[in-house]
Amino acid sequence: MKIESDISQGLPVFHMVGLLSSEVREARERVRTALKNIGHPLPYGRITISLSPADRKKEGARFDLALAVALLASMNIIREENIREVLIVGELGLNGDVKGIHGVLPIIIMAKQQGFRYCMVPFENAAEGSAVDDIHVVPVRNLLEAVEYLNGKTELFVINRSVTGNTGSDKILNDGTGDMSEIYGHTMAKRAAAVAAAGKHNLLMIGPPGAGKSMLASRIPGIMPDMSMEERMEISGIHSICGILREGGLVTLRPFRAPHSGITLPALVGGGTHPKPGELTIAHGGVLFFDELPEFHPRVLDALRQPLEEKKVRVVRNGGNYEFPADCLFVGAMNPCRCGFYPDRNKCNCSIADIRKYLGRISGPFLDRMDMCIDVPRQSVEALEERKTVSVEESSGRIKERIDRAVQIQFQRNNGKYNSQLSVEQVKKFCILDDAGNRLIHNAYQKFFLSMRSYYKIIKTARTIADLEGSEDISREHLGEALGYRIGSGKYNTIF
Amino acid sequence: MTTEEYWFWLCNIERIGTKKTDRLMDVFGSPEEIYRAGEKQLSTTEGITEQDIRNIAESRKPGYLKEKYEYMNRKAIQFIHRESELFPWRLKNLADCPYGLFVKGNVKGLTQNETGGMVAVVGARNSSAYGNHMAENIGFELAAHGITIISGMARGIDASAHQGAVNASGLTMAVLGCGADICYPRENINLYEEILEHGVIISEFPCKTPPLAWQFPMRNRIISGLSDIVVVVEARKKSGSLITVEYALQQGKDVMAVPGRVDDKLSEGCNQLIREGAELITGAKDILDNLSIDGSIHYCKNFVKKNFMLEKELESVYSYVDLFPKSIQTISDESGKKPEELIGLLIQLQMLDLIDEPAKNYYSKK
Repeated sequence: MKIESDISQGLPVFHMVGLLSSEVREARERVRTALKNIGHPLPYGRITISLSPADRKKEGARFDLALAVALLASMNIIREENIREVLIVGELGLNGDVKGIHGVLPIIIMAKQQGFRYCMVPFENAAEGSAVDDIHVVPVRNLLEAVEYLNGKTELFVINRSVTGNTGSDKILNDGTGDMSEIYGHTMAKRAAAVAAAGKHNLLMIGPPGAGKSMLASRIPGIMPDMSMEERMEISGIHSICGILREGGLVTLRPFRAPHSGITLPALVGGGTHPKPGELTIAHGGVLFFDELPEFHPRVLDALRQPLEEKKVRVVRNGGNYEFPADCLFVGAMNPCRCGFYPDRNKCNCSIADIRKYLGRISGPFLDRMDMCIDVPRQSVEALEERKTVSVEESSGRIKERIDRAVQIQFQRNNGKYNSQLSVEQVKKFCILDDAGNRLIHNAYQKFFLSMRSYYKIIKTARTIADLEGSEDISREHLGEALGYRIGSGKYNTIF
Repeated sequence: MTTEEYWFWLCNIERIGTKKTDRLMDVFGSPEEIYRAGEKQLSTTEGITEQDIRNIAESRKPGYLKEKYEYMNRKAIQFIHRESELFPWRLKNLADCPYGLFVKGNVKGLTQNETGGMVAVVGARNSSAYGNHMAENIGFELAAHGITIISGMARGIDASAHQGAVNASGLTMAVLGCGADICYPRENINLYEEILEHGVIISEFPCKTPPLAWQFPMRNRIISGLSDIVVVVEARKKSGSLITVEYALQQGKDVMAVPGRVDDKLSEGCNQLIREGAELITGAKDILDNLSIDGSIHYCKNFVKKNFMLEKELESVYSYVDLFPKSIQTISDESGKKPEELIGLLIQLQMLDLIDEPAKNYYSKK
């Protein structure tokens, strides 16, 4: 985006052109007042500002600072050659303060790619800026600071990664979401969560209310392998655009997003005339958790189908096609029936027809996208007490070590792909079963009426289990365990 | 019109049930006389309202009977009345014996075991996996011994008992609370078809009668009336099955009950029955003994001990599986085995048809 400004003789007017939305048009008043308040009132004359390219709609208040600087240059207060290689973003207050904006990180990355040497950002966003190498990021508190810096009067504190690094932010790993060791018992569910995290297998949990499904889900990001720098940048960029990047720069923990069941389609996949990323994209690289799955609108659930396969989401709007990344681990949780206690008939009096109806709210094709499905039962008090006293629960860190190893094995073998992302050809190449395994899967195929898709999903899950165990071959035991996690097409519904 | 047709007419008048027919028969003596009775005569009959008289007049119109009769034939349903040869004599002894029965399927099956060997299996609709298992086993074993299994084709225990009998290719009889042409509940449509292969579906209600709540307790008197023994598998404290038991006791039939755990709500009714003197049974053999049939031969595959050749590991896991569904987590807590080892073993047991998975990751003995 390029801003040109011109002050010429004529009736005193202030024109701004370039397909501006109302927030940008209002910038005129902010800029005029801010300039006056720092002692550089606009001259009486015909002022024209053009934002190019002229055919792209401009939105947001982030142009204020740049507009002010452009005007100051036309007023000969800032020397023009000083702003040639500088990218400027920020919102202005009437007193000349520079306020923080969303999406600084991707802007800086873009600036670097386009060859800018300096990037002037609001002080609030300084930490985001610190993440990018090879570009001078200049944080400013107010317009005066900006003027003085651009005129070379002051040497502002210029940050880049080599100065601050990310040491400060790395420490806060794992806060907020808790540790696996806080969950007592549930050995089965924890095991399944580890398998899911290791192979990026989508997971569906069924269990009575209050059993610990949400607790478990929120701890899955903590056992997923560490993010690479590229991943962190990508995720931070997304979070920056959405304004949820916390102070302190780049994200440190994989995202965990648990939208409420009332979520609309645009909020999930991304919406607006100029689409903003939705929850699906915000969860990129982390976990997207849907609690009370049957309460979600069927249209919302079915909209997940394509992104879950393709790992990205396409939004088509008037202004063009937008593609957002959406490579997240999907975790769903639901009750087995309306009251939530089936098959405990002392509590549940739902008829089989009711149960079918309840489960039927989730479409078959959606279930087909789930790699794993487990039951998370209510734990008996005795089991809980016993475990509390012995404190045998493994910490997230310990589980993560195993998962890291499993992921490494996968990446080496599958060219950087998780097992869940293997194609059919790759399954044939990398997931070779022995005779016993072949017999088991063939019998299971008939016995459980497996679909072709679930057949491959089971084999891929077995591959991950073998990788977790550090075994090169998939044994019958690995396959048997994977079969236990299958989405069955049983008696009542596709789930049971 | 023939006598048969008069009977058919009598059983097809709207809103004239057994009680009103009783009154009419008391006054007029035969269906033919009722048909010929004038409005005045009818109106003097106690309990017959003006609406009833209008309904009777409506039913006399030409075409009314023909339409009903043709529909019935199209649905392959037969009509038998109190005085038909095929009418079960057991029902004739009932105080409120139905005047006619609409029968679909193997009509001869209706009277086949009348000399002894008809057992009703009833119980809760929202039954547990344990109840279904027991009902199915009892149904199978008894049917395999040539006994007729009678039930109401409701969800749960009823359906499981029928299913057991059907699986044994035995004779089973479903007494419906709606027209015999209607499958209620809908989800039992497969069962409905399977019952018809060897068994019968009967109803005292004319074709097209919708399933209304008050009709179900009424049909229970036919279930108990037809049987020698009424077996209750699972019943809550205020279960509809206990109505069947009431009838059975009035009719002087034996009542037996399958016990349950003390804290199981679904077995409260059964345990109560046992306390009051119903015979406690733990399997089909107890019923066969009561009927003086040699029950030492097991037909039901599930009663044969199948775990004789299991590997040691499988055997030990199998010993933790119960008739009540248990989650993998529970089995793991009890056996001390890690879930990751356990799951595969349970799958193997499932492949061997030794255990069932009634809900996701819950397993019970078959």
